[in-house]
Amino acid sequence: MLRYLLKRLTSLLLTLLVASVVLFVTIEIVPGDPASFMLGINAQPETLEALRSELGLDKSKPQRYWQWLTGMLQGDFGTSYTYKTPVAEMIGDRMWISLPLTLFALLLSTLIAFPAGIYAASRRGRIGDATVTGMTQLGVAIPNFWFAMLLVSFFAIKLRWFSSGGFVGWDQGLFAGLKSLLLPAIALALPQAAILTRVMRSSLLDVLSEDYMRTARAKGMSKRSAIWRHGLRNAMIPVLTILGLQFSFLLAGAIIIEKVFYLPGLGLLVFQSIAQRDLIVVESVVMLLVFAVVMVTFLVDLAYAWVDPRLRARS
Amino acid sequence: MSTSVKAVSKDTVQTLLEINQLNVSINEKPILNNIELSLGKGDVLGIIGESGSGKSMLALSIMGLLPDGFDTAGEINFNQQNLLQATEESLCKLRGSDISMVFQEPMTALNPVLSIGRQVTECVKLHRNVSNKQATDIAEQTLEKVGLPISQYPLSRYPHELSGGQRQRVVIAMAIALQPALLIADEPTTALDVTTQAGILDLLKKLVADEQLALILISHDLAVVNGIADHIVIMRDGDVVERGDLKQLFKHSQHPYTRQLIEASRHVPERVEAATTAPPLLDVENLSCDYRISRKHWWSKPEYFRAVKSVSLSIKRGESVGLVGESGCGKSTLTRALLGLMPIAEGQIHLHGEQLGEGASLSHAVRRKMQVVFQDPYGSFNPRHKVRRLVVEPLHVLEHALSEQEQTVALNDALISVGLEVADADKYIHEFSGGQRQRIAIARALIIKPALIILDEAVSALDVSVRAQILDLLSALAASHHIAYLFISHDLSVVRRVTDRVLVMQKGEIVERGQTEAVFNNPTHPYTQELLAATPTLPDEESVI
Amino acid sequence: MKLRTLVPGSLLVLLFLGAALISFVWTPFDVTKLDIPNKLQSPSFGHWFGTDQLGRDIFSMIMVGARTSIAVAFIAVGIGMLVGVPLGLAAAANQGSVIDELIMRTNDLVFAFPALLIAIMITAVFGPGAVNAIIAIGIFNIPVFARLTRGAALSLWSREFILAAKVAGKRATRISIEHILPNILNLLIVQGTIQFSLGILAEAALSYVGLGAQPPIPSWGRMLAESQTLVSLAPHVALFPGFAILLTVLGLNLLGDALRDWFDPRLQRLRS
Repeated sequence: MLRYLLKRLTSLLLTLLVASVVLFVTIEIVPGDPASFMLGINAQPETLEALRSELGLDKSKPQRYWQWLTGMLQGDFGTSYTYKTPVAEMIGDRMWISLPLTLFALLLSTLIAFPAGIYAASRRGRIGDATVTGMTQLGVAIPNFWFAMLLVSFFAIKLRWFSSGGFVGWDQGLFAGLKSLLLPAIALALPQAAILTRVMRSSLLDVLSEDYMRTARAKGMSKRSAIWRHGLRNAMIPVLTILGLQFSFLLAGAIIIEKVFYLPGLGLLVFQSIAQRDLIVVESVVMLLVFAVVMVTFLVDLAYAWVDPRLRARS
Repeated sequence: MSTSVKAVSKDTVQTLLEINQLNVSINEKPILNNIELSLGKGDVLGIIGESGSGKSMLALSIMGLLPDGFDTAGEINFNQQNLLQATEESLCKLRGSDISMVFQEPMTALNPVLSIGRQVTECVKLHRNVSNKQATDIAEQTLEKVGLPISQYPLSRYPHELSGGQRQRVVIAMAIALQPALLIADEPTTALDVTTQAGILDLLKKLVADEQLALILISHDLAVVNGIADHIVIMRDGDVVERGDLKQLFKHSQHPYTRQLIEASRHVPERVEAATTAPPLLDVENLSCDYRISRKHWWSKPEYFRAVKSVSLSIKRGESVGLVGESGCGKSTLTRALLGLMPIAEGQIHLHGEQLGEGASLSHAVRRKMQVVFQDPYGSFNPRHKVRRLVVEPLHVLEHALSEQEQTVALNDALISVGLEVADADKYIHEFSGGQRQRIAIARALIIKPALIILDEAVSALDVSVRAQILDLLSALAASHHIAYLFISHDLSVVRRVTDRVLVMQKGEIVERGQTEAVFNNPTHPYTQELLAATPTLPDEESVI
Repeated sequence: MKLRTLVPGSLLVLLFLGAALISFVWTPFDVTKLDIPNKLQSPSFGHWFGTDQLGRDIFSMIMVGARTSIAVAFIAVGIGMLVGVPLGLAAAANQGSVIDELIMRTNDLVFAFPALLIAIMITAVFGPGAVNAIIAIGIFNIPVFARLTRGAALSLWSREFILAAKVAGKRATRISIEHILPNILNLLIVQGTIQFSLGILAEAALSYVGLGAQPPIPSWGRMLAESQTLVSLAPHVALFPGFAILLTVLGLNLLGDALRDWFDPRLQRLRS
């Protein structure tokens, strides 16, 4: 078990390291000098030189990569070219919108998908199954940002139950905060819930045809309790994989949904930074998101080991 | 169909199970027709049939576990209760408590994510209102009873930590934990090695004797039920064709199908023995093969497992040599090495005096002389190609490519010599039965006129009557084409009937070798003796094997 | 065999494919011409889907937008298949080797970057545009196909008909092309339709945030972005492009399901 986790951890850290190199090199391709960009065209050569050395731009590329990497490990993401404030600060504020939004959506998606998938699988071929499957077809096909626009125009503009955008801030209390994230979270969660429902359903159906399900029935279990006691845990194995992938989809989706709701999260920051060519911010946000995705992959690996004893035994 | 001869039990008063006029069908297609059966307490009934005979469907009907969509009619009376009329709820109470079942495939019959202890105790808790402690006690005792003492096999073990035979014992433990009156075992040993099979059969015998358990043992193999079943029932296409005492059936069976089945089970093909002076064809000297075990860490050195240890063997022209051994003994690795499909660690292979290279570098000249027929008649062919393309594939190794016309001639020759028709060349493989597919596989091997064909469990997946036909075909081809065979099988009784010499393999080594009859009559190595003792026999062979 | 989804699926796909093709030669109105006096008109006989904030005909824009969506998604899936499938075949043919390990680890690496992040990076460097959207979605598709191909091919490599081909002296490349590829083609086609529909969604999302096709090329995602402030004023501006995306993706998914059912017996044989 420990060996399995250690092995996964090493491989994930390696992925992270390579990802950081790829990212650094990609951003390095961009022509132009950030220092002259920051100071404008009329800058004095001396001031330019001073700023370049302050930003560490006069060092060699490997040195700068090392500086960037070790800086990040200590929470120092550098200084924004445009706002001249520490990037870490800018990210820190925004992250507390994007991350809760993603987790909220993940929770909603799971809460919808698990019961729906189990229900559909246990009524295979009947009307309940057909209804759920039909809904998932629609759910998978709907673009989440358009769905978000529809939600806004109905619940916020027409019914006025919610504000149509912006974020009240966590200092207004947990409930107020969650309320302003509810519509975005629903918009994000429903399409993903549709995918997860389909996976849950088909995975459970696969499991139902396994020999050990027949054994469970031969023991005297009813269909229902065989599904609950023997089916679900086995069916979870592929569902976990999708759940892990969903996190990264949701994280990326959150960036887009933030635009619909004018939420001042990482997405807004990134698009602003791209427009202002503030590449160090883009670089940092992308790295942070990759880190989050990799960490979730590790959590999924942990969950695998918990669910499946065969993995625990394997080295 | 036949008159209902009641299986006369030792204790005729108490009938446990009585099946009257049972009909099962799906979408109007009959699966079982007018089945009549009866079974007393403590009786052992053997049900024999080839694939498609409906024997497993009969078992599932008794359990009430037929998949959705099957229609049933008639009566299945268990302790005077008609199970076909019973509610699902009352069936759930019976299953696992009064009637239990053991399935064929032990590798998949257990839930992989739950410990064996949990799976056995669950069965107890399901039916009895007992504490966890009591349930665990019962589980421990039952596992002990099936030969899995708690000291060696703690309840916390998971299925993947056990071998196939041990898993089947766990399945049996679940089935008998609550001392059911009836146990149905559907091909419980078919997926197991012969020594493991013997162990499971002994266990079943012991349980029947100790526990007052009635047993229905379903098998395709007459020899398996011999010695256990008091009575047997022969099934074919959903009908019971004959029933009675096994020994009596052997001597006096009236029914042509039973006779055919018995004949096929002990069929000995007519063979021409290779001359002792025949020139050598294949010569293997001190061959060793290694498997790489997956590394512990990506930085650690790869480790190797020696699957074949310094094996030497030789095959003469036209000779048929058997290679027997249980799963994991290294016989498949040896085959792969001979075929150039895996690298050789040490030793040499000479074919026709020419030394074989390694792996893919095996020359076409060598490949021309050696072909193979695999076990699985379903997996051996690319489902997307027609028979023509499948059979001519080995022509690829010829020095000079054949013209279209020459290919057709060769193809037709090959098809006809295996008993197929020229027109079959334009069909797809799924249009053929298992036996026909093995014929096509033989045609594919034959088309380049090899000197040696390796038969890798080539008849193991076939029904006995089809098996007999294929064995006849192989013997006839050996005589007409002067082909040598390396006949690899786990089935000793078949090897005995079709080979001149035999090699016994255990843990990567050849432990015994010699003329087939000599080895079978006077095995010297303890492992050979064990294998022979474990091999199930037909009534009339008991004195022989 | 359940093929209930075949007819509606293929009809929807053909509808949008047809609209995209016809738009090359004819659209009801010129989508590049602005007609401010007629802006934000509701659907009428003249303008079936109404007009947008610049007076352009929405029906025509959806026809041309279909062209962008389908082209971007199709080329991106093509890239994913052309690169991913050979990589997957190579990895399976050399299972456990350095090549296999390298291909799979690179896959893991790409999987750590959701498609949108790749697009963000590419846009940050090269600026936004349809080509960059194609590259971003294409890169994301490569590991999807590589993984699928490797998995399916691996299960075939252990099958006896492959051993028989090896015994017949055929090399790995030839076996991969002759025996493996035809047997996994179904799987690839089904996955292809799924990735196609995901590509359409991704293209729409990228255009919506301004990272996809740039004006004046019409695109469904950007039409939605431009309509966002007008939703309460003229809902049709937001409704029609959204439905276009929804129905195209729905059609592709239904078609994919039908194909999966169609191929199922064979897929099952593959799996067993």
